[in-house]
This record gives sequence, structure tokens and C-alpha cells, in this order.
Amino acid sequence: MAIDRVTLGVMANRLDSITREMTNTMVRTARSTTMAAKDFSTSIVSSEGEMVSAPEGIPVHVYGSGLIAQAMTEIHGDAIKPGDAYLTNDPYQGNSHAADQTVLVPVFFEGEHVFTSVAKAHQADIGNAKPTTYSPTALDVYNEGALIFPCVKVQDRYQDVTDIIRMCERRIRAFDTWYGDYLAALGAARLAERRLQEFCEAYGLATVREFVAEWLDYCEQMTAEAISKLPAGRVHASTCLDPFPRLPDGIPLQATIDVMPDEGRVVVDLRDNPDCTPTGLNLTESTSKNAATTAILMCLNSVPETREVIVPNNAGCYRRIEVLLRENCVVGIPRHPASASVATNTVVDRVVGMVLRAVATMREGVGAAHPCFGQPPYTGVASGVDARRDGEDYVFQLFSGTSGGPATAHNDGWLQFTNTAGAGLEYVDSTEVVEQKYPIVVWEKVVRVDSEGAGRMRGAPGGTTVFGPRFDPLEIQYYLDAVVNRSQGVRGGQMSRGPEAWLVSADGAATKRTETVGEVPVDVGECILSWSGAGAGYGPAAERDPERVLRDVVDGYITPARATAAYGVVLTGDPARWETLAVDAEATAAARAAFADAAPDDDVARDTSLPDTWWLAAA
Amino acid sequence: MTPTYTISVDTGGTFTDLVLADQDEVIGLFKSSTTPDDLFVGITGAIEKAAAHVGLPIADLLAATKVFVYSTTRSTNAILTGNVAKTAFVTTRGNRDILLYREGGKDQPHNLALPFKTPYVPRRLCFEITERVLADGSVAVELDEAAARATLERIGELEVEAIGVCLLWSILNPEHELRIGELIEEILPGVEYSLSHQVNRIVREYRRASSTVIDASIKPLMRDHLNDLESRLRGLGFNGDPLMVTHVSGGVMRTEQMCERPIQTVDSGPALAPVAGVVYAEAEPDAKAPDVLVVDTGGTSFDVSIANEGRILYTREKWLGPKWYGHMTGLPAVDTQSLGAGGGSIARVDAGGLLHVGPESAGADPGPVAYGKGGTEPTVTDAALVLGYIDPDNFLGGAMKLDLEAARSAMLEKVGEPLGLSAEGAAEAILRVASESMRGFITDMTVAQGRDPRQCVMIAGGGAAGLNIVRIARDLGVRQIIIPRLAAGLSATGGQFSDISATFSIGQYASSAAFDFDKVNATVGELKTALTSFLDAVDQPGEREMRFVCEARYDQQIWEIDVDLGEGREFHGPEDLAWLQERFDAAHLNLFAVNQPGFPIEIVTWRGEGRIIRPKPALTTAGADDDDAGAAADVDVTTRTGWFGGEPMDTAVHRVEDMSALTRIEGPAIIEEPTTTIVLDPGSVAQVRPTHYLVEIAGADEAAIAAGTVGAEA
Repeated sequence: MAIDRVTLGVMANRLDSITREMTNTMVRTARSTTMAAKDFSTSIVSSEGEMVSAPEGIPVHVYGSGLIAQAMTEIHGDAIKPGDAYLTNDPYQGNSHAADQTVLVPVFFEGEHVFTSVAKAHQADIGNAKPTTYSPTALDVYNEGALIFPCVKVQDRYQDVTDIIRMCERRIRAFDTWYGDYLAALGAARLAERRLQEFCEAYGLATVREFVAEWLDYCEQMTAEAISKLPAGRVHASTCLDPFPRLPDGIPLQATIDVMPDEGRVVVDLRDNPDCTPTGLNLTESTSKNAATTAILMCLNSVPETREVIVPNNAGCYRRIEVLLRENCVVGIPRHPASASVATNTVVDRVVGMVLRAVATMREGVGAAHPCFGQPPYTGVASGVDARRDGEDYVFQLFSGTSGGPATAHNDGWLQFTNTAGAGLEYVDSTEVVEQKYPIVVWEKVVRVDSEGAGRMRGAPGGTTVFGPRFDPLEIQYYLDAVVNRSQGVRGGQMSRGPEAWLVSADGAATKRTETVGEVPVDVGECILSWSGAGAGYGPAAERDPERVLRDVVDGYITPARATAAYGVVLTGDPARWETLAVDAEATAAARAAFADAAPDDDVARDTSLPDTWWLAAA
Repeated sequence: MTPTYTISVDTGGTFTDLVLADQDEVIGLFKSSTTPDDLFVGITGAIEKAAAHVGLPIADLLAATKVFVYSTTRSTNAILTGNVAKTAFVTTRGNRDILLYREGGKDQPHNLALPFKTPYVPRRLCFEITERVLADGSVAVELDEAAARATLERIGELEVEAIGVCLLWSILNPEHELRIGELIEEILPGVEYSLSHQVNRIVREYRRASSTVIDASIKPLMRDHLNDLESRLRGLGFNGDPLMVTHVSGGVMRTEQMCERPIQTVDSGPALAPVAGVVYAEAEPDAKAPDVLVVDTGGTSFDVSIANEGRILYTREKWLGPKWYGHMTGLPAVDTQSLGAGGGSIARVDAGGLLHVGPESAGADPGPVAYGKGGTEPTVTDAALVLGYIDPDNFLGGAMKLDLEAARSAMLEKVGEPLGLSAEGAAEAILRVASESMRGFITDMTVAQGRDPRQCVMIAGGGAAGLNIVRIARDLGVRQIIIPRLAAGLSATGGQFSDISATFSIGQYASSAAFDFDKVNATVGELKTALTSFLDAVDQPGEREMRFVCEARYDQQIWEIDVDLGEGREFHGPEDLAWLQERFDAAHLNLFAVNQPGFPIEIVTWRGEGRIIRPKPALTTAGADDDDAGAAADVDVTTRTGWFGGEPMDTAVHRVEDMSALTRIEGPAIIEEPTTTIVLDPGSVAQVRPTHYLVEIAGADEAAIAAGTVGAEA
């Protein structure tokens, strides 16, 4: 019996409503800033392991929901029963990376396993050797030190398996925060269990199973329809991660993308990439597949001004985006004990970026330039002791600033992109809340002038964040990328500035940190200056609407000098008084004509001066 | 004896609603078209109708009016259209982009092409001042006065009309903000300004900054508008108490007080709907539930709010415009959330054969196909017409003829044929999908507030409420709906029942682990002082009360919840702290169904509300305004075909001007009131009361289980 389309839509809406309810529960009961910043996701997976609903999940998370639910069935099989809950963060079997601990609740109705509710949250600490949830330099999983839960039972008959909780108590810093976030995730998954049982009762089991099949078919059809509008052909993508500890040449990455609009299908082949590396950078199966899929979904959904999702993100759509992987590959399926500590960014960002950019080379109007790369200090992990709380330890990830999104053919990049994993969904810290909770001071958090990749549409600028400890030294962990191999523009668009980290001493002397992976102690009186990467440009800068360039000058995103040198826009008036500025149309035309002979350098006339150290006045 | 009147006016986007009451009861609802260029014209139009109704010249009616309550969209519209004062933002050095960044976040993760959100004040008008206060209120960097002067002089050069000043941690140490205020008065006399610690003294700099710049930007226009309105009313003969203006907390205050913090008027109209809702819920003896769910449906928006045990629920996250893309007011406000859905929502079938309704709207122009004004896309109103719910010859009391055939053929062509449905089948599908999104919206909201829809009585207001409210209620598991006979003027009705009130907040941190009793008592004391001076400045009689709330969280949690502190208990020892802890644990359990009793808590904000309880009229016994109001007293029953669940049914149509109590109408039926139409699905029964209809739905519970919206246990 086929389900009529109206009922189909109503049922899908109900499932999305349940997932949103899970999200609400998580966001309101979360303990850590990481979770509060929305580094978590909720989804509903069918008993067949096909992800059905994840309306607001962050891109890097939700793809793997199906894989981990499948792992649960493979490992526990018929032993799975009502009242169970499972905890996984296993990078070797479906999870994104060890920091994303996931609670799975198998949902039963009339004795049958029908759905699995999945609540995944990036924990503030997971017991790594170092006080961070990102260990890019880890040699392997032993060196990384994370507690790995290979889909273990964490609740039986609706009660905690206390052995697991006690293990965590011994090995996880800030255990109370961990337990609070665990409860938030569990609460969300259990809530979904009740709601899904009611859903089954409402429609009957047969109809629900029918619905799952038909809804995924529908989403598959929508995906095929969207792909049919892409240009046909094969395109080769490549990029290279910056040199990294133990990887002097960085990691060269590539992909072959076959777009088959007639068949409504895209194949991304990631097999021709290096083997797993002795670092924490290796991707997992879920993040490798997710990276390629996310890039294609971004190509399909990037339409200005629409408030509507064109292609829903679920297993139906994944049927049309095939990702080819191999084992023991840095962009593939890691082999134990390779570490995948930072599998949700860095290499992921590179893969998404190179696919977006490669698609853009196929035809004007599609794809995007490179986004920002790296995880600069403004979103690093800070740790220390809090004198205000009797010297209690603290560890938390900052979200105190922004990095720039890539330009598309339709618009300038999104200013608060952060990385492709979150794609702008994440919240930005309130400085006052951070300072109330932790003994640090965030002195500056503003747009980084002249950092954008120029273009007809320009990349979004990066950010400038300055922060330091208040009473006792802190340590900040972060890593940079796109310092050497910078974010590239496309179709004539230009590259952007990469991230930088500086240590400013108490006497005002600033030292640029040269390491890729920073573990920097910051003393009282000292500050970290974080410059984040910007997005790259789309189309030639000389084709940018001069009025937009003027606006960028007036609003201080770029300097007048750069407007002229990079965009060929000559302004009249007093640069110190923006209200007097206007575009000199004639001079602009002449300047732009000259660009035809010699395109300006990507970094022409950028203001790269360090910010004034006014905060040193603080005693 | 001449009665003493109270007039409440709500200027909406389309209509200006006026509710007139005398000292005993509500007399009626009078509607006039809103005149955006000069709101006074629309207001006078409504006053004239009211005056005619009571047989008085307008001057005499106004002379006999003691209280005039005014609820305005003036500030909301000015903000949404950008028609506010040229405003500059002044903040602590290093924080120029507070308004640009907001708190981050967006939807549509896979859409890279969305234009970035526009800040309330453009970056070019955002200025930094060298100074810095820290989280304990200590001064880390002194205010650089010379630089501040230079900045203000520069702002003067830019011909700025208003300035919002928000410095970090001014909530704990306002010295620098106050000094900048003095410098503004000295250097830029005549320029309006707002200081963040005075507008909204809460932690979280974006919210406070947003409150402050919004407030500053509407100060000049609201001062002019309110003073102008008051003096023109007095010119027409109004001789009563000072004009009362409604605020976002569902209360009113004098013009003079409102002009100090005009941001309180923003989005204040919808805040009155639940005030009326609570009154209706209390007036109906047969519908008692702890929670009241108020929905107000207009042509383009569907507003929802909730009251628990007679108390209207608040939010700190009030957005003007869409979440993430709009601006947060930052003030505690009645939690009214708005879905862009209504009679004008357009239906379309996508490439995969799925039916969508909205978010695109045909609005009022061209409007639905049936209006015959050039609309080609079928809308919810067209669907209701095709289903026989609306009489094409009696729409808006006959004010407009609807083109049924045009609606049918658009319905068939755009929805029916792609889905293989008849015109009626397509119309049914549209109402089903539209109702589903409204149901989902209500569910999101009730869940976020920790309420269970099945524990709610629903109050349905707005001109378009009655078309599908019964089916929405059924899917939610709501068993009883109250539909006021003045449904089309819910907010204006609320104006009759609002109290004089003000809310103040202080962002003072406290932790149960190291509770600073003196500081907390001083904070509550400060709130009491502020409230006392507000109350003392009001001449009107009435019982005065103060209530206090703190916003608290478990240690290291991110978001706070409200904890009711009653009338302002002082904290002296462990037993007071234990009392607070218990209240918090209970509130957490109530909201999230989980808690950790005894786990340390942090309090971030203290809030106090002062209230002067005004005398209230009884709800009306009369109908709404109409030229024949009071004339036709008989129930006029006809029959036409209405479609329910895909089946044609003989449907009784009750066209009512006045009905005796105790009349009972069983669905399927349609009740046509002059300003609203109520569709009773089969299985629902309406009890006719003098002031409202009580609709009871058989089997709502089972339907909700069937709809998967409620749990067997929440």
C-alpha cells in the first residue's frame, strides 16, 4: 500500500518535530560551552540503519548516524532489547571522532526494533593524554589517550551501567560536566524513544515501515532532480594540507568527481590518497564520506535568499552521492590503532573545500571557493586553574570569534563560518559569559581587516581575537592550516589570508608562533592574538560591483588602498571620513582596464599591521 | 449617570481595533482600517464607531473616558522598515562587532549563498572607546576621556540622531557608561541616548547592546508619537488619566515613563493576547486546566503564547524578524512566537510530488485567488472556500465577494492534478498540511516551555482562527477551545484587562556554593527601590504588588531558567538558601523533566515586577461591532455542503448576531460571526456562551496519540 503524498509529508514533519524536540532538550540542559555552542546533533535512524531525520544537525555529525546504528546492530544483534542504551565514540566503527560521544537508544514497538534515536555531543573532555579533545599530533590511539567506547551498553532496563560511568569518573577531567552532558544526550534520546513509540502507535507499524521506505525514496528523487541541474563531466580536485609535525610535505589530497546529471548521480572517488598518517588527522569512515557528501549537498543547496531546504540530508539523498573509500587511507577507513582525534576538521575542511572548488571550475554559477582552514586559538581549547573556585581545573573550547566562509557565485562568504563541520551553525561566545565562567579576559573580538580573498564575490574576512589569563597562567591548544597552502579562489577569484597566532608579552612585544600545532603557555600579563583565516573569492575582483567595494571600505572590511589595488576601485574623498567617499567611475574603469594586462597579486596592499596593545594598560 | 469608559486600542498592520468598556463591562469591538501615515486617523475612525454605538458625540465619549490604553505597532514597524533615527553604537574597545556577530548561528547548514545578516547599526556607525571593566566590576583600563571626546565629536560630524552605549560589564560597574552619558550631553546636546545598564541590566553583551541601540533608535520617534497622540486625544476632549501605553510584558505604563525606555513598546501588541486569553479561561467554568494556550491567527501570521496557572510565560529570547537573522530585543517579554502562516499562505507541489504550504504568502495584495485581484496561486483561504467553510457571498460580513470558481480551478490545476486529487481533495490536503505546520509550531513552543498541550485549554483568536483550529487542537490533544466572540480583537480586549506594571533586571552573579548574602539582599533591595519609585510615580488607585524572579542554572550550565521568588524574600542563612535551591530544583524538573537536587546553582540575573492592579470590567454580553449589531437577535440557520475528511456533508451554518446562552451546536457546522468564522468538524460541539464559544472535542486524546504529538507520559 502506497502512502499518499500528503500523509507522507505530514509524517516526515512529525519525525522532524521529534528531532527538533531532542535538539531543544540538549541545548537547554547542556553543561559545557562546547555543547552550548551547538557542537552536537540529534537524528533518527531506521532499524535498517538508514538515517531518516536530522533537520538541524551540524553537517559533520549526522552522516555517521546510520553507520553507528548499523554498528550497534552488528555488535549486539539479537541481544538488543527495550531499555538498552549504547554509548559509542569508536572511530573505527562508524563514529566521527572520539570526542563526539554518541548515545544510541534502540526504539521498540510491538516487540520490533523500529528506529534508533541518536544523540551525539562533542564532550568537553574525553580523558585524552593532554587536556584537549583535539590531539592532532597523537601518534596513534594509545598516544592520543582517549577512552574509546566501541558501542558499549551504557543503560540496561533504563538504568545506567554504573561500571561505565565509574570508568569515566576516573579518567575524565571535569567529570561533573561530562556527566551533565551525558545526561543531556541520554535525556534527548529517551525522549525521542517515547515520541517514536507514539508515532508508531498512531500510524501502525506497517505504515511506519512503509513510510520510511517511501520517504527515503522521495528524498532520493529530490536529490536526483537537483543533481540533474549540475554540469555533466569528470573533474579532478586537489589540495594540500600544510606541513605538519612528522609530515614535512603536509598531506597532498585529491578526489575525482563524476557528475552524471542524466542519471541524477554523483560519484566522488577518494581512494587515491595517502595511507593513514602517524598523526591524529586521519579521517574516519563517517567523516570521509561525510566530507564529500557535504560538499555536494552544499553545491545543491546554495541558493541565495531561499528559506527552504532543497535537498534534505538523509539516507535517501546519500544513495545518489556515492563516495568511494579504501582502508588505511588518511581520507578513508582508518585501521586500528591509527588516531582520528581531529577527524571532524582539518583534513575534512580540505576535502570539502577542494570538492566545492573543483565543482566551481565546471561552470559559472556553481560550487564555491575555498573556505577558511585550521583551528586558530580563538576556537582552541584553553585550560588552567580557577583561583575564584579554589584552584579548580578548567578545560573548555572557546568560540570567541569567527573565521570566513567561501564566496559563491551568488554572494560573499558567510562571516561566521568557523569551519565546514559547523558551517555557521555554531554559536559565538558571549565574552561576558566566558569571563564569568572562566578566569580569562577576551580583550578583542572583531573582524580582521583586509584578510578576505578578493573576487566578484569575496570571501568573508577572518577575525581578530585577543585573550589572556586573569589570575594564573593558562595553556591554549590549537592548530593552524592554510598558512603555507592558503585558501584558493576560483574562476579568477583570489586567495585569502591564512590564520596566525601571536604571543604578546607584558611589555607589548609580539612574537609570531611558528608551530603548526600550538600548545602555548600564556602567563599572566601575556596575551594570545588569534588571527583566523578568511574565505577565498569567486570570479575576478575587477568585476566586483564598485558600490560593494565602496561599502566594504566604508564599513572597514577593507582599506581604501586595497580597494584600489585589488579591486581597481578608485575612490574620491577623504579616507578618514567615510561619508565623503564615492566611486570615481572613470578612474575605476581605467584601473580595471590595466588589470587585464597584469592581474594584481592576491595579497596586494593588505593592511597587516598588528593591533595596538591598548589592553596592556591593565595593571 | 454618565458611565465612565475605558478605551483600549490596538493598531495592527491592517486594522485598528478598539474595545470599549464602561465601569461594569466590555461594550464591544470596533474596527477601522489602520492608517500607517498617521495612525491617529485610524484611531479616530474606530473611536467614531464606538461613539456612534453608544449614541454619543466623539467628544462626549472621550470626555467620559477615564482610561485610554494604547497598544501600538509604531515602533515595531519603524524597526522592521528601518525607519528609525540614525543611530550610533558606542562600546568597549575591541568589541565593535557585537551587533554584527550577535550570538552566531544560522539554519540551512548546506546553503553557502545566504546573504549575511545585517547588523542593527551598520559597522560604519559602531565606535570603540578605550576602557575596560572586568567580570568582578573592577576597572582594568581607565576610560580614556580625551579619546571618548574625539569619538563623540566624530559622531556629531556624522549627524547622528541617537546613540546606544553598551560597555562590557557596565551591569556591575556603570561608572564609564554614566560618564559617556555626561559627555554626550555636553558635546552633543539634543542627541538622544540610551545607556545599557539602564535599558537592560543583564549579562550577555549582545542582548544588552541590542536592547540599547533599539531603544535609542526609537526614542525620538516614540516620544513624538506618544506625546502627539496624547495631545490630539486631549484636543478631541479626552480628559482622563495619563495615556497608558502597553509594553512587552503585557502591562501598561504612562507615556512619560514609557518614553524613558520605549523599547518596551516593541512587539507589545501580541503580548496582550494572552492577557485576554487568561481572562477568558477564568470566565469559563467548564474548562479548567493548569495551562492556557493562546493562538492568534491573522492573514499572515500565527502567534502563540502560553500561561501557566494564570501567569503568562516569558522569554529572554525575543527576536524581531526571523531567529538568527533578525535582532534580539534582549528584554524579558511575553513569549509570543510567530509562524508566518495564515489565510494567505501559498500551496505548491514540488518536483518530488510533495505538497508545501507557505512560507510564501499572497498577503492581502494580490491575496488569494478568490479575491479576484490577480492572485494565481491557491492559498489556505482558497482551500477553506472550496471546502465550503467560507460563504463566498458573506466574506468579512459581505464586504467582499469571493470567486469560488477561480479558486476551484486554481486548486485543481496547481495542486489537484499533480497529486491526482479533486479540487476538494486538494483543498483538504492544503488545510491538512497547513494545520500540521501549525501543530508542529505549537509543539515546539510548548516543549521548549516544558508544557504538555493536553494539559492546556486553548484560546483561539484572530480573524482566521476558526478555520482549522479544531483540527489543530485535536491533533495536539487539546480537548477544549474557547473562541471569544471578540476573537478578531484579542489584543485590544487584552488592553482592557492589563495592569500598570514595570519590570527591572539586575545581572548580579551569585553561587550557592559561596553565597554572598549581603550582595544578594542589596540587589533585591535595589530592585525594590526601583519598583517603589515606579509605583509611587503612578497616581492611579489599585492594589500594589511586587514579585521577584531569579534566572539561575546548575553550576556550569549555559542557559538559565526562571525561579519564582515570590514577594522578595531576604536571604539570611542556610534555610533561605535551601529554600532557593528547592525552588530551582523544582523549576528545573518542571521544565526539563530532570534535575539534580542539591547540585550547586548559579544565579545570573534578578528580576522584579511591580504592578498596580486596575479595576477590570466584566467580559461583554454584546456582539462585535456591525452596523446591525444588536438588531438581528435571532439565530439564522441555513445549510450548505461542507467537506470534512474528504466527504461532503450537510453542514448547518449559524449566522449569529446574538444567541441565548445554553445553545449547543454540534459539528459538522459553521458559525459565522461578523468578524470571524468558526468551523466545527464532526465530533466537536460548541457551547454558546454570552461572551464566547466553548468548543469541546471528543476523542482529542486518541487523535493526539494518533498524531504522535503527545506522550503517554510527558
